[in-house]
Amino acid sequence: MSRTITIDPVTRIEGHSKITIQLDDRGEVVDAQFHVTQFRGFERITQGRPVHEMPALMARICGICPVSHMIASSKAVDDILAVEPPPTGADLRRIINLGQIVQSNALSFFHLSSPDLLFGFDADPAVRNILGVARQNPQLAKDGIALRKWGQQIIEWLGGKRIHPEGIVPGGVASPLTAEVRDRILAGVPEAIAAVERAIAWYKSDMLRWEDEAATFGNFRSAFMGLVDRHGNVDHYGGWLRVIDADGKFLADRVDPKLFNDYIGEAVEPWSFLKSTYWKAMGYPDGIYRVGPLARLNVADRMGTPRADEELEKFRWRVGRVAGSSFHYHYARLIDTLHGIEKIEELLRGPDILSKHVRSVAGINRNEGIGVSEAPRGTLMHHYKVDDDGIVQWVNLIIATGHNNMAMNRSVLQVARRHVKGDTITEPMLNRVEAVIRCYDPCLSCSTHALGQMALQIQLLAPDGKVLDELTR
Amino acid sequence: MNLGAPRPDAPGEPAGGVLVIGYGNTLRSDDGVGWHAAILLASDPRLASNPRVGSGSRVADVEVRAAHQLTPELAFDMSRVSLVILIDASVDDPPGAISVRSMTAGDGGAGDVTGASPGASSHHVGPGELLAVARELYGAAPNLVAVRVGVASMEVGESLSPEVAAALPAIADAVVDIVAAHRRSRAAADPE
Repeated sequence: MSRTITIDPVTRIEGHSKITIQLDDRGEVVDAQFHVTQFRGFERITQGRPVHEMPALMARICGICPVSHMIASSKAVDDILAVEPPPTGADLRRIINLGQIVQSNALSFFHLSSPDLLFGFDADPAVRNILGVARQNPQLAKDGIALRKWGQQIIEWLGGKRIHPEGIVPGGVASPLTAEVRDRILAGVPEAIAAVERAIAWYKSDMLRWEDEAATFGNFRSAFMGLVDRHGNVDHYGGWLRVIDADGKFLADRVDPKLFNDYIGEAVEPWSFLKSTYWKAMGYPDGIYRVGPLARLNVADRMGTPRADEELEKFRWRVGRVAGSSFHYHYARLIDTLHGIEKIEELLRGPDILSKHVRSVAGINRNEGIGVSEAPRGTLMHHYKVDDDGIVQWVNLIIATGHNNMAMNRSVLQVARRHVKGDTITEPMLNRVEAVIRCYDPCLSCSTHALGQMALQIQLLAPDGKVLDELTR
Repeated sequence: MNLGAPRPDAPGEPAGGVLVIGYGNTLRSDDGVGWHAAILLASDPRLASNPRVGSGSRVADVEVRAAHQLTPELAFDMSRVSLVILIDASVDDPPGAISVRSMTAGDGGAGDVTGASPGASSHHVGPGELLAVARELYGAAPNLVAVRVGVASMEVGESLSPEVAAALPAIADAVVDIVAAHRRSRAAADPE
């Protein structure tokens, strides 16, 4: 008799999910699935609304990364207005986007994953948490809090509010930067850099402990996707899409992100509200690729800032030119954060950053628009269609967690095959299955926007594929 | 009083103020009651700056914040005040009913909307956990009072149920009473 192990809910990720692991007669894992059971339906809710409202509406998708949605949404509306933000407006968007990435990366690494890394996956959950980190390594905990606060303050000072900010608008940003706010942000840069560099040093000193785990934590061949600028540097705001295979060979380069539909397909499975995207040329499900900090480091030639480039070189020396294990998302996330801080400083020191010209104003000039940017968890795509009055008719969102959906499922299966033996759920097995999901830092609030007709289905399968039990709702 | 704006971050600022955090998901109907209460309290004249606190400076003694959820960096902000008041939804109380209770480090558990057990957190952390982190990292943990409001609906929607909407003035009164008692207590302890 086959059995299904259910882990519900997965803790320390944003949103709700469920994992099922199917065993065969011998107690060996034959399949595993990561179910997303949360549904929000923003793609449907926003139909009929004026397109100028979209950035503010889309910010409501998520309390963790509202800025990311405002950026991609504003870029999609820019496209419909047929305008480019003034250079300073674009730079201010870049700064607030990087502030979002710094604070979100800090939450993921310092507060969600560092307990696993500090205490080990077999440690008592009563210790393996943020309070445990505060007791065992207070500097690490303080650094995480400091980075979170700094990133949040940038969002608040530039966006008006730290949760669901309103400063990013179609055509640019709502108001220019003042010298006082610029200097306040710059004053925090040295400590922010010091905090993340301490974390990088700590991680590198400890990472040999995790070599064995890294070998089976989502360690497989796949493609990677991210945005790069015209020099091949990481670009969190614009630039071109670049996709590489597991050997680093370009599958696509210098692709206009607005053409993403030519390259990326979306598949819907009956067991999850989370759509799975795939590289069309390779088909579904073979066209698996990953996005996010690890992908950004893998696809780019360089980070484009001095300290982060130095760390990227060491990263590649340690884990290879194309890092294949999702365990290395943690390491990559720290370097991505360091780059974000350096880039914020570079932009703030730009000669025109206090310019009053921050917003282009226009009416509806196109009936379709696409906005693409890098969110903390990976490439984010907003695609809208409007009528001649600018009323939204159709919306499609491709969220980083959706890009990573197939990779998360494969990672869960790999970890389960190694650690699940017999029919007992052990704490170490549970911890590792959850931890491999946390490598991707999935945000399920963001990712569940599929159309409402999709059912949630739970199946219990025999070794021959026969459905022993089924629940659909 | 200041909704959402940070307090000065200079180390060693004397603890004495009050931090009010109303939190919840405003897209989940009554779950957002804490947020709505915070918006109301932000303009409540009864929470206006206490001239005694801050030695006549313009530093407010009460800061009101609306938040989506509790996050780890709040431990730092909590360590800078002497009283934290949390306003949140409760599935354990009748719709619109208000309950007030003091909490200590480590408080919270299953079924407790206001709290969360250490180790069972998502991007959200529990108030007891935050207090414990504030004490561990910054050597200071304030008194914490949870104001919980029973919910009628947690379905998708931006409106509060009639029962919970009607309770908003009473929630504000409860918070104002807690702040007033705190001010009296501090005045008695420090008559200067």
